[in-house]
Amino acid sequence: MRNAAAFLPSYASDTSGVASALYELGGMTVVHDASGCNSTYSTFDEPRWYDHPSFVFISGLTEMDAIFGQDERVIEDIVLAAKRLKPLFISICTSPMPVLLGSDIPAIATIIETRTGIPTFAIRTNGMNSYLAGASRAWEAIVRRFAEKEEKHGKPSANILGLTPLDFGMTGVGHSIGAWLEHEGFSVNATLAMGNNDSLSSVRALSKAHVNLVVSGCAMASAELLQERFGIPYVVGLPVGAFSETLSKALKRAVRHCESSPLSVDGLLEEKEDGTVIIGEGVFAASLAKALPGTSPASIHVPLEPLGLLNASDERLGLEDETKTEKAMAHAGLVIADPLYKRVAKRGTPFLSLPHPAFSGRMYARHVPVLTDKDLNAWIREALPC
Amino acid sequence: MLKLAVYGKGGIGKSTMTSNLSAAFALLGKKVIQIGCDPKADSTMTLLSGTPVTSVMDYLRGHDALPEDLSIITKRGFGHVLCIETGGPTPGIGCAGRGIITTFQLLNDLSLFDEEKPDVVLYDVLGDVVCGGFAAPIREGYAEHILIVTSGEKMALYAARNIVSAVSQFEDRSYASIAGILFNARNVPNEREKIKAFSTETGLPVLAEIPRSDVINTCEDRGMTVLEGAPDSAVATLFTDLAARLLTLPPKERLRKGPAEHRFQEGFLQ
Repeated sequence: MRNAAAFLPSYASDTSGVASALYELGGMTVVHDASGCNSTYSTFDEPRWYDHPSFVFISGLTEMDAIFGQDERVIEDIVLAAKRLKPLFISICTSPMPVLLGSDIPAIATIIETRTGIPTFAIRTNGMNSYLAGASRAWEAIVRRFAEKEEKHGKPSANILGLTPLDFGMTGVGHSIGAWLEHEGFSVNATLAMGNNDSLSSVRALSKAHVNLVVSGCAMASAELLQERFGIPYVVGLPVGAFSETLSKALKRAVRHCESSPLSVDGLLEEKEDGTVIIGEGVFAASLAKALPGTSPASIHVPLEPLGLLNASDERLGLEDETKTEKAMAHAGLVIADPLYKRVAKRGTPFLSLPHPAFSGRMYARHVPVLTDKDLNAWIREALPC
Repeated sequence: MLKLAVYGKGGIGKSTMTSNLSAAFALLGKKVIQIGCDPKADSTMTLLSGTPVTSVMDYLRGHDALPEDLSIITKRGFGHVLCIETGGPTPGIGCAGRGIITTFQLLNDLSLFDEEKPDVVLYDVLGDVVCGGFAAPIREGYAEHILIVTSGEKMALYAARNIVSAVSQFEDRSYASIAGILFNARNVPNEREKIKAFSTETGLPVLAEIPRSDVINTCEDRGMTVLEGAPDSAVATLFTDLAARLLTLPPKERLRKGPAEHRFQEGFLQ
């Protein structure tokens, strides 16, 4: 049975990914969904909700809306809210219900843009893909609509693409990566899209950068679009441990030769007896696997869309059911994963908790480490029970 | 690319018109796709000599996964026309409109238009616009022009009026607009006058009058269009002339500059 899970939760959905990706950009995100579901997108999956205002709404889809196709009610509500709140843009995405009804969201967006004059676009979601797909499409749409051609000048600069609390929590990881980039000789041009004090203007100026650093699969589509439109190469990876040096070289090579580097997972998909198994988002897991010290070989298990990975078509990557995850951990000498994966790990297998907010929500939010700042040897020593 | 959707009352001759037009476009040297949007999956039969293509819904019914390439759900017919049928659920159950939307999404995911690069696409749509699914062929990015097939019979004109009314509801959505009427004569009393009155009432031009013809029926019995079975007949010439005139239709003007590109890139269309 595909995608079956008895003990594990599912990852945050694509609709949460959209809300999270656009949270700080000054727009209004409307999820076409039944009333009450906003708690999922705005509170359970969104740690910024309590101290950083943003316009994230639910359309309040009703049974009568479904039967009569009352798109006009939704349109009027959005137009009214937009006139009051004056967002910089409006994005509309969908839960499973309007998807099954076949609601024409791009047409609704066209009408709203005509009536309000505010850039409005539809983002294809169905509530059944992971946050990666939603965030990816949201950023692709925002870059397509707002990124402008800008002149590059000064020392080499980089954008950090792919920051959301769903992958990194509220840990200040953006500052940590920024500091590392500065240390490696790059100034930080813009981040997409957490810690963006100047919201949409950062998106407009993305093309000033010489290179994009993609730290999560969420940003792969926007990195490819920036390359296609403005010729900016990208490098995929998270600067952790020993892998930071490889990444730094790749960034410098990318600027010199205008050459992009997706993240290869060659050698990381084979099961290794007594090896380390890292479970999680592909870019994070592969970066960590390449960074781990010591002689114990690491492998990765990616139960999500393998965005950003060179080997994305490898059938060993991607959405899988719980039994495959269980099997991936069966012969591990060490498992590094979100604490909820302990439920399907073999009793006695050494387990290093690495909370992933998109998986366990707020349960372990306070324990999300900033690995980009850490000596991985010390982290493993401290985190592993004796 | 010329993109046409053909609507009209059930049994009025939409598939006959559409298939003959497809064949005529093909003989004019155009690369053509015909997509039947009817659960009966019988739109393209006369282009395929009676050997039907596997409909998308039939494929999905028998498989647990989407087809990996287009060849499984397409078939070349007369004039190299690429034939596709959405098909639908068993009558009385399921949701045929949803089936059309799923088919269109699948065709986008399989990059149909990028792969085939057609000059003309024809959507042959079931009867009235009864729900959102049956309006899918006229959504932005699909058909740009609608042809309404009608005779002078009361119920055919009633259905045609409903279609005109439904399409007018979609004006602010940047959907396809109606190019005109295809008059498929049934030889009812005062038929031409009734069609003329309908044309005046709606402001829609009569693009062609196809007389009731045994040639069409004979060719259909042989699993052919008249363009294939009786290429020298007068009715074949009518279809050829109509196809040539339709090729001069200007592209539809859009409400918002460039929205189609946004749709494409946001994943709604490939």
